[in-house]
Amino acid sequence: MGKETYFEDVYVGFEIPQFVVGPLTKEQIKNYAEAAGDPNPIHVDEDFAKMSGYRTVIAHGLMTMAYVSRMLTKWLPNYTQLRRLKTRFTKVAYPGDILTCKGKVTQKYVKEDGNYVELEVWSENQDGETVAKGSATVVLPSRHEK
Amino acid sequence: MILALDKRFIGQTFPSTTFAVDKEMIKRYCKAVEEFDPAFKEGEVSPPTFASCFLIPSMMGAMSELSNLIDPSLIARIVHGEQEYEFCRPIKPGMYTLEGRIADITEKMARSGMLDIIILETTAKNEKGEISIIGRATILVRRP
Repeated sequence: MGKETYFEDVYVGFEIPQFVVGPLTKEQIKNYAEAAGDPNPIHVDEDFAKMSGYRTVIAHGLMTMAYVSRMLTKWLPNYTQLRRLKTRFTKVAYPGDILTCKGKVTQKYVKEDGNYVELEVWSENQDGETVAKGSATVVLPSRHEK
Repeated sequence: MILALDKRFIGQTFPSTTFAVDKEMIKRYCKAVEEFDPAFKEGEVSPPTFASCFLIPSMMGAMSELSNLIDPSLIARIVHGEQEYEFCRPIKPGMYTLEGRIADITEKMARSGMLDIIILETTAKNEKGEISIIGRATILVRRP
């Protein structure tokens, strides 16, 4: 979890610290499949994945989403400050891929129940191709509330 | 020729199911995504995207229900295109009730051809009946 970040510290265009993961391994993908209860053989069975048109097994879209979430919860002092996360799975991630998760503030506003910050979030592979992209909503404390 | 998905199914609900979360499940998930934050170490609370662990079985359930609604040959043409979560309350060990519904059905012309787009919404409630997580899965069905 990150150091305290205040609402006043961020602005539209503010970039949060990147989070790098990988190279992904088949073992990790298998562990994810087991932990998440996903029986789809495309993530664990090499032959099945090839028959489906991929060069090898593929990572779960939800696994790439988990890394985007980790970037956010690593930045935020408390994981409960993450209120919403949406990601579109734009490209397949393979074993061997190194993913860099990034986030940028697009909007900030105050509502009765908190100070909200909207971010654009995405994850790129080592070739700069986007594998997941979407948006997140977080709440940040105000310096004036101290 | 297979026709587009019937918009009559918008609003269709699926039978609610229960899902038990225990500490070991949370620890296993943290290990899988290499989440070493001490907050989750003992498995007493889970990282936000742990929600995927019960979303997947819930989606599978919805899919088998859907297979009664759509042509079975389309099942193999399904792609999980997008996922959204609203995190209302942290998921802790306990029993959760999952309620699924088809929130929307639309169609779109994509580069690869015509797509039917189904939004499956799953709401997870804790033992007190409070909403913990709302998940929205965007399911793409490539038309043959």
